[in-house]
Amino acid sequence: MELLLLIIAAMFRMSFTLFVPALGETISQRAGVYNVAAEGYMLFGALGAYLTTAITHNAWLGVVAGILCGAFLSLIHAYFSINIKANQFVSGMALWLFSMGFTSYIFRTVKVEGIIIDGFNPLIINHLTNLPYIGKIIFNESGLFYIGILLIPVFYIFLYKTKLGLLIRSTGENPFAVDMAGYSVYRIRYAAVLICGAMSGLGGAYLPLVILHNFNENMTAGRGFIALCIVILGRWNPAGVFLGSLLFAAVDALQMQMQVAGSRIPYPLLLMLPYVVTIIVLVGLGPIMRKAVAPRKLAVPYEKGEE
Amino acid sequence: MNNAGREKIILGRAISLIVAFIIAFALTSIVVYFSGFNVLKVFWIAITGGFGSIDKVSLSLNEAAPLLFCTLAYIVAFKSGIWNIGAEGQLFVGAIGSALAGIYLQGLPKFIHIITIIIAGFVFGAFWGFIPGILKSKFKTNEIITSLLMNFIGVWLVSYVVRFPLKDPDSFIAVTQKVQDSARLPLLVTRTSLHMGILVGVAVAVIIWFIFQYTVFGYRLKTMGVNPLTARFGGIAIDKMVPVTMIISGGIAGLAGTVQVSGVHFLLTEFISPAHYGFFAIPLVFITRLNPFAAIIASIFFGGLLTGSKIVQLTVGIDPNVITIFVSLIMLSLMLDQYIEKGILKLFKKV
Amino acid sequence: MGPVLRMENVTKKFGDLIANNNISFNLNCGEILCLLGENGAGKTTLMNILYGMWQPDEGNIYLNNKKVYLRSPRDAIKKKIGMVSQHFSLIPTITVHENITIGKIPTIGLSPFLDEKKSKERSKELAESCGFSINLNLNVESLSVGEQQRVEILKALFQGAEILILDEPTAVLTSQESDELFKIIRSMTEQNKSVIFITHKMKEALNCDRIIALRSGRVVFEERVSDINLEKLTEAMFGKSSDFPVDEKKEIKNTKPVLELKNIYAKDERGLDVLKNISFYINEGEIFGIAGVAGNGQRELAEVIAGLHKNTGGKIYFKGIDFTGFSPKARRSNGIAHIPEERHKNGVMIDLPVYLNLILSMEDRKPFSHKTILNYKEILKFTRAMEKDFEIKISGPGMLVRYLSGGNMQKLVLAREFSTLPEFIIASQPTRGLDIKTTNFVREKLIEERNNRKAILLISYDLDEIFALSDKIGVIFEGSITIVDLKNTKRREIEKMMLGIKNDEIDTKAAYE
Repeated sequence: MELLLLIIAAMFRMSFTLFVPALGETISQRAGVYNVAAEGYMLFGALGAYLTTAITHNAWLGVVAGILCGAFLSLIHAYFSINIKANQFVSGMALWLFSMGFTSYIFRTVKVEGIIIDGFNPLIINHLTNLPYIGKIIFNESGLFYIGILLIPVFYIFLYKTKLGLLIRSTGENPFAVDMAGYSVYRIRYAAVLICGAMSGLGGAYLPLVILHNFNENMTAGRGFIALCIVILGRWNPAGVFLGSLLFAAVDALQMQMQVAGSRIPYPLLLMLPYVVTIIVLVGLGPIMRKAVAPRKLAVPYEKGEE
Repeated sequence: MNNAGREKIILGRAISLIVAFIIAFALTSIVVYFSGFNVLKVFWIAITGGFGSIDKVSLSLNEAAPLLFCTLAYIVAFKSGIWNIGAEGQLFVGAIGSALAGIYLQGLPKFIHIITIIIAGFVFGAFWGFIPGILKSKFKTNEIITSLLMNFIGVWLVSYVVRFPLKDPDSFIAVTQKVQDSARLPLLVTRTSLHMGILVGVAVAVIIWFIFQYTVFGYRLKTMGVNPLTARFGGIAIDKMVPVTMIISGGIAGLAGTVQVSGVHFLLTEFISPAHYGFFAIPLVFITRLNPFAAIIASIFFGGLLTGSKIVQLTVGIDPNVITIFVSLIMLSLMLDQYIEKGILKLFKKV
Repeated sequence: MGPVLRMENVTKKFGDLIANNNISFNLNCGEILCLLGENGAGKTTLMNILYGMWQPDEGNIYLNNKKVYLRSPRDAIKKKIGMVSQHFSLIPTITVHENITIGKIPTIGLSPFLDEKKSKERSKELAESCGFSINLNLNVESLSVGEQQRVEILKALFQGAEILILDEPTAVLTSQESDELFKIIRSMTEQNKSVIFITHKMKEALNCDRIIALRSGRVVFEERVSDINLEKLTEAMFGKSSDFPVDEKKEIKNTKPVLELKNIYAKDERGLDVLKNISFYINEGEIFGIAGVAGNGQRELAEVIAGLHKNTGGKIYFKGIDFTGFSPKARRSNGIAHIPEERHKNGVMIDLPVYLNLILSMEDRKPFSHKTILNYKEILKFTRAMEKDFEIKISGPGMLVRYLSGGNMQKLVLAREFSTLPEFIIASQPTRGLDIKTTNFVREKLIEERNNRKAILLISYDLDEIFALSDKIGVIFEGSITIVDLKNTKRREIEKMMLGIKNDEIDTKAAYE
C-alpha cells in the first residue's frame, strides 16, 4: 500500500513536466504552429534554471530563467515558421538538435557539474499534509507544483473565455478569416509559440529544481515528444491534456519503480506505450471520425491575404 | 542537357550552401570564442583531425557509414514526396535483425553469414518503415508524425531486447551476447577498425542513383514526388508506391543498424547510435539536396567532423558537442537561405 | 437618392488577358442586381475588385457618389461592403455567434474576457431582422452548408455591410435552401440593403430585380427582369446568331462504337449528384462535342471516363468490354488518352524536364524502356520528333516544363497523349488560354486524329469550337446530357439549352430532382 501511494505521489509530482509543456504546445498547435522542438525548449529551460539557481541560490529566479530560456528558443522557431514559412517539422528537428548540442556543451564547459541546488522542497501545509493517504499523495508537493496545477484552469479559461484565446483557436482553423476580420495572424501565432516556449521552459525547469536538484544531460528524456503525443490524445484541450499527462506520468512512475525494484517485468515496453497509443489514435482519427480534430491549418504557414 | 534555368538553380544552391556554412561558422565561433578557445584552431582540428592518420580515417569512415545509410534512406523517401523522419528507429530495429542473425545463426561460412545479416538488417528496418507507409496509404495518417514517434518505439524496443529476452546472462550491463566471428564485417584495411560498411553504403548510393535515373520505378517515384496529381493522372498507382518506397527507405536505414552491430560494437546495445545518426542525417539530407553522390561526400565529411570533434576534445579540451551545434546551425541557416535563394531567383526573373 | 454604388470604366488585365474591359454599372439602394455570365466572363474578377482583393488597372468606384479606393478586403469591409464567397471564411470550431461577431469581439468592459451574452444578443437581433432564426450555440462545423451560408451573411451584416456580394451562392444549396436564401435576401433589401448576386444560372437571374450580363469581360446586356426578353439575353450571352453549319469533315465509313456510357451517375466531393443518368456512345472517327457552361459536370464526366473519379451507378464500355472497375492505368494501357482541363495541376510535372514529361504513362512501354530500364536514346529521339511534329518551342529537351509558355505546355501534353496511340481521346478544354495560332494547331491535330478513326470526346466552354470540330453535339446541363439533332436544331436553341431555357421558359423544378 505504501508502495502504491509512493507511485501515485510520484505520478503527480512528475506530471508537471508533462502537462505544463503540453498545455503550451496545445496553445501553439491551436494557433496552427507545430513545435517539434518542445523537447529542446525544455532542455533550455532546465539548464537555464539550474545554472541560475546554482549561481544565485534563488529558486524563483531559476523559474524565471527557465521560462525565459524556453521562450527565447521558441522565438527562433516562431521566426522560421511564421516569417520564413519553413517546414515546421524540419525547423523543429534542427532546433532540437541544436538545443541538445548547446545544452550539453554549455553544461560541460561551464563545469558546474555536481553542484546540488536547493530548488524547491515539498511544502508542509499544516492540516492538509497530515491527512492520511491523500496527504502523502497530493499535499506533499512543492509550491511550484501547485502553481502548475493552477495553470490548468487558467489555460482553460484563457483558451475558451478570453478574446486572445478565441483568436488563437480561430487562427489554427482559418487564418484567412481571422486576417479578414482585422487581426494580425502573425502576432497571434507569435504569442502562441512564445507561450509554448515559456511553458516548456517551465516544465523543463521543474526537473532540476524539484526532482533532481541537479542537472544531467538527458534530463528531459523525451518528455517534450511525449507532450506532442499528449496534445493529440488530449484532443487539443487543457482538460484532456491534463488527463493524458496523468496517464503517462503514471506509466513513468510505474516503470521507475520497476527499475528500482529490479523487476522482471519489461518496463521498456511500458515506456513505448505513449507512442504506440498515440499512433493508434492518429490512425483512428482519420477515417472513423468524420470531423477533423486537429486544427485544420496546423503546420501550414500563412501567407498574408492568401486563403 | 543543362540550360539557363538549371544552371541558375545549381548556382543558387551552391551559394546558399556556402552562405549557410558561413553563418553557422560565425555563430559557432562566437560560442567557441567565449568559451575561451582559439576559434581557428578548433575548427581546423575538427575538420582535418578526422583524416590525420589511417586510424583516424578508419574511425571517420566508420562514422560515415551509418550516416550515409540514413541519409540515403531519407533521399529515397523525400524524392518520392514522402516525409519519412524515422531513420533512427529504423536503424535500431534493423540492428535487432542483424543481431539476431549474427548471434544465433551458427556454423555459417563467413560470406553467407555476412549476406544474411545484411538481409536481416534490411528486412527488419524495412518492416519498421513499412508501418508509417501503409498507415499513410490506407488511412491517410501523417507520416511525419508516425515515423517520428516510431523512432522512440524503436529505441525502447532495443532497450527491451537487450535487457530482457536477448540479454547476455554473463554480463552485468544491458547488452546482448557477442555476434559470431563469422558475422563480423570484414575489414578493409588490416589492423584498423575500418569495416566494409562504407563500401556497402557507396554501393547503395550508386544503386539509388541508378534507380532514380534509369528505371521505370524511379521515374514514377520522381513524378510522385514532384507532382502527385499528375502522377495519378498518368496512371501511377500512388497508394501502392508509398508503402513500397517506405520499405526501401526503412530497409536502407536498417542497414545503418547492421553496420553498427556487425562492424563497430559486435553486439546489440542501447548505444548503437551514439551520434544519433538517424537524426543527424536530417540536416545532412537537406545539405545534399537529395543527391546520392553528394550524400557520400557529405557523410564522409561529417563522419570526419564527428571524429575530429573527439580529437579536438583531446587536444584542445573543447567539448565535442560544438560540432552538433555547428551542424544544426548549418541546417537552420540553410532554411533561411532557401528564402534568400527564392529572392535571388526572383531577381533573375525580373532581369 | 442616387445609386448606392457606381463602378465606372473598370478595366483589369492579367498579362495579355483582359478580364474586365471598361465595365460600368450602377447598383441602386434596396435592389437585387444579378451579375450573369459564364465562367471566365469576368464577374468574379469584377467583384474581387469591389471587395478590395484586386486593384483595377483603370476605372473608379463610387460609393454614394464618393470616390473610394479599396486596397484590401478590410477596406471594403470598413466601407460597408460584404462578400459571401464560395469558400466560406468561417471558423469551424467556434460557435455561430462567435463567428458572427468576430469582426469586433465583444468583451466585458476593458478586460480580456469574452462577453458571450452580448455576442448572442447581437447575433439574435441580426437573424431576426432577416426573418430567420438559427441556433447560436452550435459550432459552425456541425451546420449544413445552407446554414453556414446564413452565418456568413449575418457576419457580413454585423460588420455593417450595406452592399452584399453573393458569389454563386446556390452552387452548394438544395432547391429548398435556395428558395429560403432568396427570402432572406428580399428581407434584407426591405431594410435598404443592396445585393449583387453573381451566377451563371439563368433561373436565379430571373429571381433578381435587374440583370447585367458579362461576356469576355464586357457588359453585353442590361435589363430589368420585369422587362426581360430571353431571346435577346441569350443573344447577348453568346453573340449574334449565325447559323453556321457544322464544318464539313471527311466521312468515315464502317464505324463501330468505341466508347459507350450507360446510365452513369456520379457524386461530387460533397455527396451531391453531379452526373445524372448519362448515356451516349461515340464511334470510330467521330468527335462528340459536349457544350455547356462550366460547372455542370464536365470535369467529373471526364474524370469518370478516365477512371480518376468513381461513378455511383451505370457502366462504361470500351470496345465492347465493361471498363467500369478498371484503374486509370488499365484504361490508359487499353487505349484511352486524356488531355486534362488544368494542365498545370495534373497535366505536367512542372519541375521535371520536357523529356521526362513526354513519356508519362508510357514509361513502361517499348521503346522508352526495356525490362524496367529506361532507354534515354529513344526517349530523346522521341522528344526531338515531338518537338518538330508539334512545334514545341523549347531550348533543349532538358528544359524544365516550368519555363514553357502555356501554349507550348499544352502542345507537350497533346504530343504525349497522342503518342500513346490511343483509340479514344478525352479532350477537356484543349484550347483554353492559348493564342490563335496554337488554338488552330490543336484543332487541326484533333481533326487529324479523328480522320485516323480515333474517337474523341470534346468538352469545351467555347461553342464555336464545338461547332468547328464536332460530328455530334450534346449539351450538358446540371449533370444531364441531351444529344442535339443537328439537322433540326438551330444554334440559338443549343445556346438556350446550355442556359437551361426550354420553350422560352426556365424549368425551375426538374433540375434539382
